[in-house]
Amino acid sequence: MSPADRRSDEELVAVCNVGDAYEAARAFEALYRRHRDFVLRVARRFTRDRELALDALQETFTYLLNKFPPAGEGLTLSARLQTLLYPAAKNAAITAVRKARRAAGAGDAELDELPAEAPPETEPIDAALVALSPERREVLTLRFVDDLSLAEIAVALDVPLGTVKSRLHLALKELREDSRIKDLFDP
Amino acid sequence: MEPTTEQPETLPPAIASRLRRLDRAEAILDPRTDGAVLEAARSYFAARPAAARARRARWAVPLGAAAAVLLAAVLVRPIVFHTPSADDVDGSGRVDVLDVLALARMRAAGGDASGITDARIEELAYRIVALDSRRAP
Repeated sequence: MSPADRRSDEELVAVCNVGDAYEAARAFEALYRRHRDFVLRVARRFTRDRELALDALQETFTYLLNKFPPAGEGLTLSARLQTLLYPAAKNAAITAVRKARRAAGAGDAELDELPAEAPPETEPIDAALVALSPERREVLTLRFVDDLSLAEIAVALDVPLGTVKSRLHLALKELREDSRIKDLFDP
Repeated sequence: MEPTTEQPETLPPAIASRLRRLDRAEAILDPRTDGAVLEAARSYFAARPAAARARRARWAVPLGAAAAVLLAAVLVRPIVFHTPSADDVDGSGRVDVLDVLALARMRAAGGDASGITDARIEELAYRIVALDSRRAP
């Protein structure tokens, strides 16, 4: 594997916008290698399936590629690239699951949210996390797993900042009040 | 309910760790997916013209090498031809057709006693012709 590209996302995006064929492809590869794991993690979150997650990964970067000329207008980053990739990966994952369900003859269930998958060995913490509403768990995951700021989460979810704060606050409150894990907050 | 101030929201490390585990991404990376994405990118960007800088870079090395060889030939040639040589019969510092004529005159004047054979004259003449054709632009 080639060494990691030290250029910022903004610089790489600028090269993808106006660079020559060779430089643009190299810059795009650097973006792909830098954000592939994040996109795959998000896709896996919403599909719970290896093949569907890989399909969503490919679909997400195709979407990003089409943002650049000649087909696209060009991309200007006003926030971290993850805030653009997150909804793209989420939508690609949900679409992949829908297609798979249709192919299998199953109907569309509620797919616009995180599937609640109980871990094989349910522990109190896992049970409390799974018990959170999908919207609250999504914000909690974006904040503490993906390390996005509240403002970035708002952009990624396309909701007001106040909504993000509210969801996070309620998620933490719910966990804090859960008798199974309450002592973890007040050791 | 909406908090009015942005208070630092923290999660106990044990819960954060379990959340990450719950969100675990298995080792599902696939080189075929990498290849497909990157090949699509190369095809997509291939429509763009190659940069002039890239074209210059492609020609720069051979062009530089040719210039270096030419320069070396120009610099070295006088040294080679100014080196005292048995072929420089007339002592002009150059080996050229005049040396062949000088050799022929010496042969004519001295005969066999001069030690110069016809074969020697012919051999020098051939080499002069060869040298001249190499010097020609």
